[in-house]
Amino acid sequence: MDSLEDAVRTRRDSSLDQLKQAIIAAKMPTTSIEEWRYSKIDELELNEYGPAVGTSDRKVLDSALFDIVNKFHPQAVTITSGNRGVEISREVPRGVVLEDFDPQDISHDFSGADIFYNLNALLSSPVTLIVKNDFDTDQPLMIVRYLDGDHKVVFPNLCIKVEAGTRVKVIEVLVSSDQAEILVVPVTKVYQESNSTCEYLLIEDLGARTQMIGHQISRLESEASFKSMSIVSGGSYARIFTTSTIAGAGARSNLNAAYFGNGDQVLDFRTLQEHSAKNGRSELYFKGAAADRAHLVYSGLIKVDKGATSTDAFQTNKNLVLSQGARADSVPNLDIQENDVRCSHASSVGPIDQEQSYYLESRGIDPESVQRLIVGGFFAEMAERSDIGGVKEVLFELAARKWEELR
Amino acid sequence: MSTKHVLRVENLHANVGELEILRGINLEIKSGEVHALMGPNGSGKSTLSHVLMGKPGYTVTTGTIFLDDLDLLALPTWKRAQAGLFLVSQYPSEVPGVTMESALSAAYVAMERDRFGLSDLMMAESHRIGLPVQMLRRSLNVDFSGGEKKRNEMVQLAVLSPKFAILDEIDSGLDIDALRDVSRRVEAGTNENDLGVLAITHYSRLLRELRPDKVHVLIKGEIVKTGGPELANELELTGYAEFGESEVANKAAVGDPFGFPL
Repeated sequence: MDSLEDAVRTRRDSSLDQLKQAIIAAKMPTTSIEEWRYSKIDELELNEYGPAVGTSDRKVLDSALFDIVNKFHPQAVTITSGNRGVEISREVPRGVVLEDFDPQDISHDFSGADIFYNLNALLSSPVTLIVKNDFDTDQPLMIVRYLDGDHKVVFPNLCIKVEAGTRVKVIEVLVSSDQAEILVVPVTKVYQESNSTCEYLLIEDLGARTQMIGHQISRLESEASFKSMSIVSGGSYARIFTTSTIAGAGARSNLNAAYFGNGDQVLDFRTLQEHSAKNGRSELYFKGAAADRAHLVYSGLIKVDKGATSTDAFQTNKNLVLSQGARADSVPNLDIQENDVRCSHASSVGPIDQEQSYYLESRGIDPESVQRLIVGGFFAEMAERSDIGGVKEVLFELAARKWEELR
Repeated sequence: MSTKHVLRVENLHANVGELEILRGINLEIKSGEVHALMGPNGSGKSTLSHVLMGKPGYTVTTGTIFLDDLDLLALPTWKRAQAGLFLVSQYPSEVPGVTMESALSAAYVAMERDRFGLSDLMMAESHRIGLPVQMLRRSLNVDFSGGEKKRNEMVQLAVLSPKFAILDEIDSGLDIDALRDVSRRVEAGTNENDLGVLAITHYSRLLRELRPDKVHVLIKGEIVKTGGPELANELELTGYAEFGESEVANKAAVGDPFGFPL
């Protein structure tokens, strides 16, 4: 066994000692690698973190952002887990099977696999929801992770398999306290069979001393439709690598994220829209604001493989930089191997638009309220990109809470 | 009848960068009056509207602007608006995610006005100007047509109820029906609320709808002639030639594609 990749591939047949050797031999990436440029990977010492066992007590953790979605979905089936076991709020609805294995393990051919993805694959056991075609409720399935500990590493692993022709809404919530000095390595995988629909919402409300390095992976068979919204608020360093693969003809992926960094936060988003089949459509819209000394990173790639004809793929990243010390880097990229495609990418980094401020100030609104309106609007605009109830209110709260912290 | 107010501009000179655009403007507008300011392209019309409103990027070198005895040049834009000045801009800014409801509500808070009844007032004014009420909950000016933008401005004008309105080429991008509706709403403001109006325009078309008390001709940053409504008719026929503007330029400026002889 030479590498962590091999270990992941053969993990079911490997001995503990073989896995141990592979983990010890694994190398951390550095910022000299393009995918880790601008990241805080050079400051991360894995040696400082131990396994998290029995250290979470969800009663002392709270999240205003989670409270909002929770209020919107009182009937949702909520699967709660700390670092340890899993609790389920009510009976799992008809059509949902809860498992603890990955039903469609893509680990061996996942191009975005890095040390964190691989460690998650080796060390976690997934919460798996298999949504069968007799599932028919509009109530979302909610997976809430209360994470805590002192120098612990946690590997949340959520797999969602949506069977053909089925429609489901999933909300995933990651919460930790401001005291928690933990590294969270979440991996969320969505496998969609043909003609299925999945709406996904992530609420990341991690504490000030938590670091997160995560993956969101979706793989869509023909005519499947995936729509995601990631709302990211916390973490001293929070990174999500989003990979969405159009694996079947005519599949549609709609990827959205809204994030607001302040203090010394680094919020780091990497995306890959991969078109392997024809007639697919992917649309990405990531928006972030940075205040104080926060640093936003966006780096995204649209990849259209040979044979993925009649592809539509779009990518937009907008960054609002609200103070002198804040910064945003935005790097959109295209890799197109086919002719018959429509692709575009756009990115912007800048302060509040002066024409917008002038327009609102000419209505008698004081400059501070104008800024607040424009920043609120910057996020409110995202609300229409998700059909899950409460998104608008969470975005409002995100802008409001960060605004309060600035003053 | 409400108290009469006066907007008085004296010997106003203003630069954009090093370039002097306004070269000694004098104007006096009283409550209830409609003044038209006409001029060819590049004469300084829009500059005047922005200097009145206090837009950053314009430098006043000499002169004064008073609203009654309030020195507007000493105030930032938002305080000028609170004092009773309103600009209907030629190209109202798109503000993603900010609705008219939230903007006007913020304006009421900033002005310490009672928000009770604000929502009803907005709806009533939308009906009055023919703007579908659902537009109140859409992002300001985003994907609005030319007509919707100006109707939207009219709702804001009506709700904020300023003392003076500056209309910066509100006829641009408007079809005839929208132009008539917008003009009538402004005119109603002058009658019902004693609104004073400075209507800046290229074309006399607007002035057939919005009957001015006075017409001023602005050439190269100076008001070269002031008269009654008949002056607009004259300009329609002769252009700005007598003021030293070239024949080609004045045809381009006054030649209104929708125009017809008065």
